[in-house]
Amino acid sequence: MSSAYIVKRILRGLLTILLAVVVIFFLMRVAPADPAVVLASEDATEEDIQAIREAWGLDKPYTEQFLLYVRSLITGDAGMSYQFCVDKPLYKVTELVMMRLPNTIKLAFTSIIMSILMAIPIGIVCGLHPGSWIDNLVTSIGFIINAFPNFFIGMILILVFGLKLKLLPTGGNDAGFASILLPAFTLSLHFSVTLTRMTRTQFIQVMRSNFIRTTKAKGLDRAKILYIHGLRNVSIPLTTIIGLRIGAMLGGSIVVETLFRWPGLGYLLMTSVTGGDYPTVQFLVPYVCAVFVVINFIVDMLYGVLDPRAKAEKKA
Amino acid sequence: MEINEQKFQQKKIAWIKRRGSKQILVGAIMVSLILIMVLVSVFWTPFDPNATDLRARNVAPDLLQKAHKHILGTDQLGRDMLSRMMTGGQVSVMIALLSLVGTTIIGVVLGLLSGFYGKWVDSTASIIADLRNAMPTTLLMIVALSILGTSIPMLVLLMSLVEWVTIFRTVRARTIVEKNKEYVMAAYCAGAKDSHVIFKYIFPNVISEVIVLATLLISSLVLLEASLSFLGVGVTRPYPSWGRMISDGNNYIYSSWWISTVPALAIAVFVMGINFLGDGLQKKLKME
Repeated sequence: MSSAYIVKRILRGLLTILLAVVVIFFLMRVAPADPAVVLASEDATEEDIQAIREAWGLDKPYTEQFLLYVRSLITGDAGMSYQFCVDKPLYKVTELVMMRLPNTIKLAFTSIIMSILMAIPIGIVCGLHPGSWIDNLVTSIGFIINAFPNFFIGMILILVFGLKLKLLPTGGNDAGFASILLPAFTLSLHFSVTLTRMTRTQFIQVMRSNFIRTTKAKGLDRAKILYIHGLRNVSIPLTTIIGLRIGAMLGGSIVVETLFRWPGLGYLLMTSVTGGDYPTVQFLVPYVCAVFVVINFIVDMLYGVLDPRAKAEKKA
Repeated sequence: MEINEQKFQQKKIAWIKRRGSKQILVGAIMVSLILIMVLVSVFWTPFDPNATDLRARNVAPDLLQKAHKHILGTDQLGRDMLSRMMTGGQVSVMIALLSLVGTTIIGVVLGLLSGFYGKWVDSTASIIADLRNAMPTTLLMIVALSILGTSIPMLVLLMSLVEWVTIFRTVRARTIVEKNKEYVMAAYCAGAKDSHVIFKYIFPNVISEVIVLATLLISSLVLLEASLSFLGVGVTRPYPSWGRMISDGNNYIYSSWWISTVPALAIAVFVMGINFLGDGLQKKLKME
């Protein structure tokens, strides 16, 4: 991995984040509703609105507003959130984000672990016996799962396990570990299908390769061939998509979190957007984008470490 | 030994092709089933999709029409589910197809230009594609739709900006290969202009791959529209759309599961059909 390549990647990552910041900034400014009016309470007078405008710097020229906004992102001083108000705002935006972040991380990792536990064994079995009845069954189930929107699958899970069988909570995060099961499973399904397919095709390819034939000729036992030689070579492409998936999930899955009222970043973003909590939206979107970019970058770097061939190719 | 290997390869190709054709057939049947249903609903539905009947609220599906005339039941306002599913398809399918057209145009035009001209055109387009891939687009879309207000044209516009990168990359790679072939040279010798060469000569050679990719994209666009409508930033209320209907049924899932399930099944049949169709086409194309 040449340093020029790393620098190029970092620059591109920064450009991406900057672009997201600009997009959000302009979206907020071209909004048909005046943010100051949205932020003010319903019986606010003209002076109250003017005060809010000044407090938020909305009366300054756009360039200055933009610089202020960028500064607030860097220092993390993004002001008060306009949700959960009683008389005055209760939480700072950053506090709110920090409160919600652990839930999103928990949900992301639980669902990814579920996917890995389901998809990789199934993928290996299908990859070892392509065309068998079990392979066809798994492929068909995958087609069916992929055809339904995941929130609908979530609704059915709520209906069956939450409402009819009363085994698991239907939403929120009050029941400890039990409450994470349904949202995590819902989130893991579509990704499991992708991961199974990927494991399957990779395994078919690896098992046909010359070095596996050599191990067979050497008389190694089946388990060793599978786990040491097979799985190791399959692990590289799988790491890539799992890593990218983590990146996508740390921003919070808006749809599933909203369906299960899971108090993570996705649900926070949705309530901020619908509740006109602009300070939170302004802070959260660039944050999510930055996480996405950073994880992408890490996955790319890891790829070079895990697979020496990729390193050589990029140098060449 | 070698002959055997060759025969084996030929047999394998034939097998994959046959499998591909079967998939295309099944997929085509499923997709046309839905499309015909949607087209019919423009002229005729069993009931008025928006007519409420308070005496027949939350009526369960009755496929044999023994107890009542609502084959797929009614929703919380007594509206006929079958009629609503048929008309709901109009909006969902229309939005998916229109944004598909937008996506394809963006991908193809950018791909052709950057593959053909290379240099700064190519690097600019590639950077834009990379940026698009590095952005959580759905998130930006939700924010944009809820701030700017949602309407069907706005939805189509934003959805067109989401999935064009795969088409762009494929068209670009193919154009780079095609532009060095002899027929392009021949066209220039005959006095053709750049634009003529790009759109009349190179474009027809990349179109089959674009069609396959575009087919597969329809399903993700239908699902995207459903998710956005579920979050309340998609299709707004006077129009029924499949996503909207699933979301409306969420509040009645305990007592009347069919309100969400009927539109979800419509989405599933359509998406599965499209996926079969695209998969089959892709298999055939690869084997050519």
